[in-house]
Amino acid sequence: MKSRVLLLAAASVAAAALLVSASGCSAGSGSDSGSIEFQTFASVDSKLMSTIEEVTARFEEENPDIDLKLVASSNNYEADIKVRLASGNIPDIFGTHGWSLQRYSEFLEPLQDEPWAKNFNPVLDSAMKNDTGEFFAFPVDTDVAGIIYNGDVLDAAGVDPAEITTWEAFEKAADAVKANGITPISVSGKAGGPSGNIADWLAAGAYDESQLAELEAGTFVDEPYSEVLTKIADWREAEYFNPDYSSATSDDMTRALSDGQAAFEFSQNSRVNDALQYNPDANIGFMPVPSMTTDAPYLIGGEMNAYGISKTSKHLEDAKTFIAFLAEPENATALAEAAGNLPGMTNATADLGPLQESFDTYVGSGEYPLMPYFDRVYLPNGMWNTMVTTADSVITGQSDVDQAVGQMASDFKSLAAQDK
Amino acid sequence: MTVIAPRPPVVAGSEGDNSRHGETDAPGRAGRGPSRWLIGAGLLVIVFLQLLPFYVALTTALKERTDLSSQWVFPIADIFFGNFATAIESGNILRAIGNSVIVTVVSTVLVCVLGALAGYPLARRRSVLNTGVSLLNIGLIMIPPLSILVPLYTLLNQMGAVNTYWGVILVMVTAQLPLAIFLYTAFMRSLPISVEEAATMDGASRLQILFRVVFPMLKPVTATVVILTGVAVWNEFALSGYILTAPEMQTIAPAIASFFSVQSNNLPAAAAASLMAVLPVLVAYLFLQKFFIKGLVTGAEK
Repeated sequence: MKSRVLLLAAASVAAAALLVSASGCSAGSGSDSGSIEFQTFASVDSKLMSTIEEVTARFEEENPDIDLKLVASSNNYEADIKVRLASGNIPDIFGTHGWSLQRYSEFLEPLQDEPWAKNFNPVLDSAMKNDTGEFFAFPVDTDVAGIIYNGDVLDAAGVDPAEITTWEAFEKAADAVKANGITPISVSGKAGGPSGNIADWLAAGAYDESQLAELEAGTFVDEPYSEVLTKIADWREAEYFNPDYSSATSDDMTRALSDGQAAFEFSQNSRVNDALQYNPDANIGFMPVPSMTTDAPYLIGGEMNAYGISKTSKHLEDAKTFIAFLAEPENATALAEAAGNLPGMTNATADLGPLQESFDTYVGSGEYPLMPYFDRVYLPNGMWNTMVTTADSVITGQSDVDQAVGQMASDFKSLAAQDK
Repeated sequence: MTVIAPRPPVVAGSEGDNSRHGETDAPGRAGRGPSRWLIGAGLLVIVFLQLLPFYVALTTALKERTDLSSQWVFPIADIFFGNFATAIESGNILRAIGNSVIVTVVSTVLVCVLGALAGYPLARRRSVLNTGVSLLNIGLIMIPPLSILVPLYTLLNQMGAVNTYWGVILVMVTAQLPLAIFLYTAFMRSLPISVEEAATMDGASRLQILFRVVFPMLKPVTATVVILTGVAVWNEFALSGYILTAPEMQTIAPAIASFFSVQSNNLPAAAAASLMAVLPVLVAYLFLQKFFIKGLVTGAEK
């Protein structure tokens, strides 16, 4: 009797497995199936994702023969894309998150000959175009970032952000904020990126032209980087960072910014959008980053949300049609607004909400230079992780500045050698 | 989620030996006196610590994103169910739970059946080859799954197994099988051979012995394997995050992860999704706990 039961169980498992595998066969995605796979680099219920869904629905209505499969991304996005590239199963369209040129260009279709390419925002030329003028992704937005601040917190401390043009002024402001019992700088140690951002923001203004040329030639120049990490170590000593640094998540940073628990954050402006979802009335802006070498503050900028088409896609022409649809002024405007940044197309406009004033003051005036992300341009591929871990070790006090700079120098050397 | 540690096998007869020597009281009297209160207090602390994450998840899930009050405060006055709606509508969480049920049930049953079938010869035929296979099997437990990610993904892609149930089930079964084989082998070795010899004397064939004599005795270890495999597959993220990217195929962990991206995240909706994901396991455990506990106790009584 029992054996019959067991046999029955085994048979039903086999049948279930067979059924499941049969149903699974039709669910495959990627380049081999009938639909275009679009890895969006946006979380499932974000403003950007819902805008992409709206625009895509309209596109599919107008082009009933083309079917798109939108895929939301997780924090694992970068690793996910790397695995897909390594295995040859490349999504038809995917978000290039700042790396369309340096990392992904060999996998992507050049787009400079597309009809919409004439409206490509020239601000992005240095970040997204190669020497021959090719570019590999449709830019939704132009990522312009500075130091994000909570205006109410600064007001209460009697600080005018427009007057923070040097690091001395910044530190004075931080002291005033701290005296009010508010965290001057909120950083997440758990997220593993925000600490690197601080070093990235500072380093962009710590090197002079000749030193940058040396970096590009593959030689690490340690003195300016030592100054960057010394600055971070000084801020730790002055207790500018949130006490829960190690356990704070990226979401904690967003909440701190939105409810006035922190004054400054070194982060992309997409965080502001998120903070406004927590507190729509938050008074948030951004200001240029003071320089460590010159008197002129600067903004950090480059590619953020951009979509490239795999050159091996079986739906190349359909994918191009879709991207052209995204690039239409109405759609490009909607996408840029959802991303909370300046449009990547010159024929699009965007209402940037509370950030509009900062954009008008600092970006519209053209007064402040736009520096590229330091690690993307001047450091070999793979150095971002070292930037994060060394900045983290200085913030937590696990290593001193010299040890951290030594780590940077040794990783730079080995990664630069691999790049050659 | 709580992982229930398998209870170590109790040596047969040890309880009787102890009582013969008068070293312990009868089970009903074991916890009398102050020690009972201490044990009770200890258990309460453990229960409190176990329930704490669920409480925080609940308070987070029941608040609007704009509610920035402490996560420890329960929103008594204004409970907000919108996060559950977001989890269902945007996060596709019901579909994800269905997918997880399919993947977990099929994987667990396959692991039990294949593990028992593979464990029997390893337990009963102690040849040099089988010893080598057992050692190799133990070695397989030690391979971190992510270390083989790229070749595994490439293989699955070539097989057309990415974003399919059978692809992820194949990987889950392969990943869980070595531990199951190890547990079944160890358990079968502890079973008395005399029972099988008696069956042979009665004229039973090898297969009949396996199905009619050995398999019915495997309930305790099967309970352990079901719990370990079921929980591991239900919660698996490291590999399924890569294998299942299509929204309609995602299991729970990748589906919840899609509420978090580099640029934005929605913690309340993710907490709501997590709570919904726990429900099926909770219900299954409530219905099956008798079986699980009985299975574990059976091992002690053997």
